[in-house]
Amino acid sequence: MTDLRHALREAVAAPPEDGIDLIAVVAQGRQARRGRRRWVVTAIASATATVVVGGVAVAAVVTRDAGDGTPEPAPTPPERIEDLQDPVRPPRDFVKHPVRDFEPDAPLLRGGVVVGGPDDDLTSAYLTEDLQVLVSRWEVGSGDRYGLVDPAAPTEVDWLPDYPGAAEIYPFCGFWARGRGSECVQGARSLSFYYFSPPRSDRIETLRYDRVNREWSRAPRPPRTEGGAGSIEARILDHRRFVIDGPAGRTVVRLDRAPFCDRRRGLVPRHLTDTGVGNVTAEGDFVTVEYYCASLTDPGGEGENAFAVLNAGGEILVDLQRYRGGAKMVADRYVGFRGMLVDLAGGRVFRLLRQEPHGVGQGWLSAYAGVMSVQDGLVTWSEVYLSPEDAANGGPRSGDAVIHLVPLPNS
Amino acid sequence: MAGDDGAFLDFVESRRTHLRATAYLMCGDWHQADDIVQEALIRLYVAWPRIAESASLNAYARRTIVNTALNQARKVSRREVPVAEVRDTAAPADGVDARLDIVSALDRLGSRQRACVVLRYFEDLPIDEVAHVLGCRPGTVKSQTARALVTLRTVLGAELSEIEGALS
Repeated sequence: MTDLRHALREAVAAPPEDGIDLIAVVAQGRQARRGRRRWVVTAIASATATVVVGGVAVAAVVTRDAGDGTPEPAPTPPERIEDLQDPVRPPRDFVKHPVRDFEPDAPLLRGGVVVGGPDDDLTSAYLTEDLQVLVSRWEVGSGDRYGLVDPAAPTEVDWLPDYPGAAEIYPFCGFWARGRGSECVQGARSLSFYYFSPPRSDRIETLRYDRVNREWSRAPRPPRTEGGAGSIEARILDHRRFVIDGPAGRTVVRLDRAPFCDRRRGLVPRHLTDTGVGNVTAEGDFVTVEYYCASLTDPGGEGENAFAVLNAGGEILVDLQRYRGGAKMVADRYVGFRGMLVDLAGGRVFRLLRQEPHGVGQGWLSAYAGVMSVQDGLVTWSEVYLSPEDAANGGPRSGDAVIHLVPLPNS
Repeated sequence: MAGDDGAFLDFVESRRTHLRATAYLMCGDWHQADDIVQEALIRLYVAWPRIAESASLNAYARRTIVNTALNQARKVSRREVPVAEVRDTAAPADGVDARLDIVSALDRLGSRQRACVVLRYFEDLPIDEVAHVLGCRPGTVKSQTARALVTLRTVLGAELSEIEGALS
C-alpha cells in the first residue's frame, strides 16, 4: 500500500536524461526581451554556432551579447555560420500573390491571396473572402491574438478586441470545410473561431466575431463536412521557421520533420556537427540547420533531414540527409513522420501523409496531409485533416510517409 | 545582462529537476515535459528582470510550468483525432514499470483536475495557493480535486490509501 504523495514522488524518482537546452532558452529569451523584429534564425544561428563549436559552456554563452550593445567576449563562430548572423535583415514588403487552383483532390485556395511579410511575431495567416488576411500573433501569457491585414496597406494590423471566455481560440477556417472554393476561408462579415471546453476535451465551443460591429458572440457550430479527406487549414509558412532569405537571392525552405520536437526546431543536435546543405550548392554559400526527431518504429534511430533550396532562377536543389541519432533524441512514444521528399520544381506540389500514434492516450491517431506550393519564391502550405475513416481505410502505416507529387494543372 | 543571466541560470540549476518532475506529472511524458519546461523557462527569462528580486520566484516558476502545460494540453487536443482502433502500433513491452500506473491514472483526468492533484499532492500546496496558481476559487479546487480523486480511486482501486482517506 502506498499513498498518493508517495506514488507521485516514485513516479518521478528516476527521470531520463534531461533534454532541456539552456542555450536555446537564453537565446530565445533574449530575443523576446528585445522585441526586435529580427529573424529568429539569427538567434538560432548564434545558439547553433555555440553548439557546433562544441564544448562551450552555457556560462560562456550567456555572457555573449546578441546585438544589444553590451560588450562581449568574442567567441569565434564557425566561418560558415557567419552568413546567417547578419543582425538586421532588410524588411521585405508584404506582397499580393494569386494562388493557383489545384487538382480537386488537393487543397486549394481559389482566387486567394497569399501574404507574406517580415513580421517575426506573426505566426500564421488565413484568408478572408474579401481577401483580407487574418493573422495571429502569439503573445506570452495571453496566447494567440488575432488581427486583420489589408494587403493594400500591409503595414498595419487591425487587431481584434479581446475575445471572451476562452484562454486560447483557433480559427475555424479549414477544419470544417473541404473541397474547392472559398469555404476554406474566413468570412467577409464575420470570423469564426473555436475552442475546447473544458480544455483537452473534444467538446468544442464556437465564437463568432462580427467584423462590422466589432463584437464577439457565441455562435452555433458550423456543419462538419462528412467523409473524405476533409478539411483544410491553410496558412502561410511561418517565415521565422521555414523560409529564410539566403545569400545570393536564394530562398531556403526548411522542412520540419516532427511536430512534437518544437523546442529543437532549428537547433543542431549536439552529436551532429553541421547539417548544412553543402552537398547541394556551392560549398560555403550558406548554412542552415534542422532539428530532428527519430522514430521508435525505426530501431536503429535512423532519421532524415531534408532541405530544399530555391534559387532565383527557379531551380530546385534538394538535399536529403540521413543519420543515426543518439538514444537521447529518440522521441519515446511519439512517432514523427519519417522520410520526406520534396519536389518544388516547376511549381509542383508535394503532398505528405503521415500518421502519428500518440502514446499518452493510447487509441488516438492523427493523420495529416500537407500540400506545399512555391511560386515566385512564396511558399504556401496547406494542412489537410483526414477523417478517422480515411485513416482507417488505406491510410499510411504508422511511422511511414507517403509522398504524392501532384502536378499543377495548366493555368 | 551577464549578472542577470548568472542568477537566472543558478535558479534554473537549483530547480530544474523539480520543475521537470512537475511538468512530467502534468503531461505524463518526459519528452513533452522537457518541452514544457523549456518553454516555461523562456517565459521566466523574459520576466526575470521584473521578478528576480521577488521572494516568490518558486511560485512564479511553478505557475509558469502549470500554465504552459495546460496550454500545451489544449494544443495537443486540437491536433488529435479519435479512431476506433490504432493499427500498426507497437504493443507495450512486457513488465511495464509500476510507476507508470499512477501516471496512466493521471491521464484519465482533465487537465485542470490533474493540475489540482499535482499541486496538492506533489507540490504540497494548500488549497488557497492551488487556487492562486490556477486562477480559480478555492471551492473550485476542492471540487476538482474531489472529482479527480474519485477517478483515481476508480482506476487504481485500493492502491492508494490516501485516496480512500481523502474521500472519507
